[in-house]
Amino acid sequence: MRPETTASPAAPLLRAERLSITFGGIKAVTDFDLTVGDGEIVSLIGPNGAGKTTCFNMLTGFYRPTGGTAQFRGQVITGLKPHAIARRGLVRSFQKTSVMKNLTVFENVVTGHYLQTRQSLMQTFLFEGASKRAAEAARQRSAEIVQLLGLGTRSETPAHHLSCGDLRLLEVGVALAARPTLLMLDEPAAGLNTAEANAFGEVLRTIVATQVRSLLLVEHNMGLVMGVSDRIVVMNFGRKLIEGTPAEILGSDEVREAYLGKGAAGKGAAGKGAGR
Amino acid sequence: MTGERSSLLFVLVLAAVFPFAVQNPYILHLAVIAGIYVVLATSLNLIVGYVGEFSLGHTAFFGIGAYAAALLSTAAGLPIWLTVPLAGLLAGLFGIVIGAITLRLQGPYFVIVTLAFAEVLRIVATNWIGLTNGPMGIAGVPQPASVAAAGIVGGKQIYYFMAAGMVAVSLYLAWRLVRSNSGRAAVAVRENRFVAQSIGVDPFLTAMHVFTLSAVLAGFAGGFYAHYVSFVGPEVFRFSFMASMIIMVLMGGKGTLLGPVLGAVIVVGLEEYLRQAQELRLTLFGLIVMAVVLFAPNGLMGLLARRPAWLARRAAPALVSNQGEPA
Ligand SMILES: Nc1ncnc2c1ncn2[C@@H]1O[C@H](COP(=O)(O)OP(=O)(O)OP(=O)(O)O)[C@@H](O)[C@H]1O
Ligand SMILES: [Mg+2]
Repeated sequence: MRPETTASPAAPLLRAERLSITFGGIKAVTDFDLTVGDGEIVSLIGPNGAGKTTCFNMLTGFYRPTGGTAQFRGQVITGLKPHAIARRGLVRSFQKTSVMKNLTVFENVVTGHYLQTRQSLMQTFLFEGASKRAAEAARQRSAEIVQLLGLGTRSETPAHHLSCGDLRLLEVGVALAARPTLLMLDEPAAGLNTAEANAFGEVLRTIVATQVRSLLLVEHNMGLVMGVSDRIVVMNFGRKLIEGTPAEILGSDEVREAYLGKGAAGKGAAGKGAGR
Repeated sequence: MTGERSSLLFVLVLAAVFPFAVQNPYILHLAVIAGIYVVLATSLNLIVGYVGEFSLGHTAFFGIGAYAAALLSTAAGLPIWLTVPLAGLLAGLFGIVIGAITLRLQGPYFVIVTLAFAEVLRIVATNWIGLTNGPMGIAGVPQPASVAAAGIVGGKQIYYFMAAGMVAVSLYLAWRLVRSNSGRAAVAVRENRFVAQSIGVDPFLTAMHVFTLSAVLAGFAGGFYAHYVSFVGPEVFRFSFMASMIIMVLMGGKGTLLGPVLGAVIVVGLEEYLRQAQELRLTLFGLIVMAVVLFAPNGLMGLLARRPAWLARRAAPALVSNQGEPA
């Protein structure tokens, strides 16, 4: 393990260089570069199958890239196991809704505090004191997170009884509980109606202001993306197409083509893309 | 949480007065056997209910515990209060080794490799005659002097309290682990492996903790069993112990602490009750297992949980099979 390097203000929190991965000869992502600065909200967008989720999986250790590297806070994280990457402060959510569905909302968020409440085996079996205090702190912070996300009234509800919108919020809550430095959300607003998506945008802004340093967002809801992002990276066919501020992206012909050109004939990416 | 805790306390109190209310040595014998099975079922439940994998080789640890206690008492002359804990520790060491290999596997692979370990140990026990006396087994594992002096009912009572002590220690250890951060991490892995990893849980290490404790408990049970029946042979690795454990855990309710305790007591009772009809007995058990799997996948605790709310939250959730890839 390398020594902790204190990142200079200019050094990005996350820097991925030439990330590539092939599945049985098919290039899913090719030479993809990405940086996320300290305090920055970056969105990663692109038509279905562009490779966004695959990038998330490479950055968080679920897939091993066949080429390229990723650094987080100046340390190489490619090759690390997912839990080891999470422990460094890079925490992600999943596109396919993933919570611990037999646990209640509150239990889900408490479980998310795993790293804060880790205890030695001695503490587990003999001395409870320190771990009890940590557990109590985790419960308190869980209650705060549940409130922050507006899930207060459903705190004791088992997760499998939640509506789609609440599930999305709960996923964010579980991720927040792990105290990420950089939070990565994969289509957190999928399945939400316009009002819910707007409310979700508000929650995201609060989160970035109070809970995490930076946010990397994959999202098809353009209203949400344009509203919250400092910078947008557009992917198509596993490659970076263009990146820039929301205004630059909106004016780009390439983006229009990527979405409308393919989407009109494809499976409705245009519909999603135009939903702003 | 308090619900499960107070039910456990209630069971313990009931257990404390039992041997004085019932002076019948045959009933006391059944109670001792039930105690051994309570520990075994609790042990297996840690794997089935908390690691979320299915072990068919759990007799490995029971057998190691039994041989360890038998050898430590016959060859080294150690007393029972040392042999049983040491049997647990030795089984725990084997648990670390076997866990390090098998916990990298999932699903059917885990099942097959754990089964293979138990089978290998059975073959070793049968053939390493220098150590284990082969198929002849180790006879005359000594009884504690107090048991020999106390007569038939008194001796059973002493064994009963030793078994109760072992049950209490085992349940306490299991309870502490399950409620600990490691226990919650295990539940997280069982519920959703990907989410667990993304909040920093190391699935392998977490499973190792639970698996090792499970092995220790099975070792306790084996060590105590060796003294109680005073004979240990290769058949401690036989599959019928395994079958009983599985029925107990499934019937009582995997993933709860109380479920396997209930399951063990009920199955030991039923096995005795059905003893006349040997062949029919196994058939009936097969039917019971099928019925449980089909109609009450969370066992008795799952059925109970349909009523009071506090049980509903504790009840074993059905195991979720993890998808192959994160998405
Ligand atoms: N494990 C895998 N095996 C084979 N191919 C894969 C695998 N994971 C991803 N792919 C392929 O990689 C490409 C990119 O998929 P990915 O899921 O990253 O797209 P996406 O941008 O997240 O799309 P969406 O907006 O639909 O979520 C797709 O062609 C997909 O089929
Ligand atoms: Mg995706």
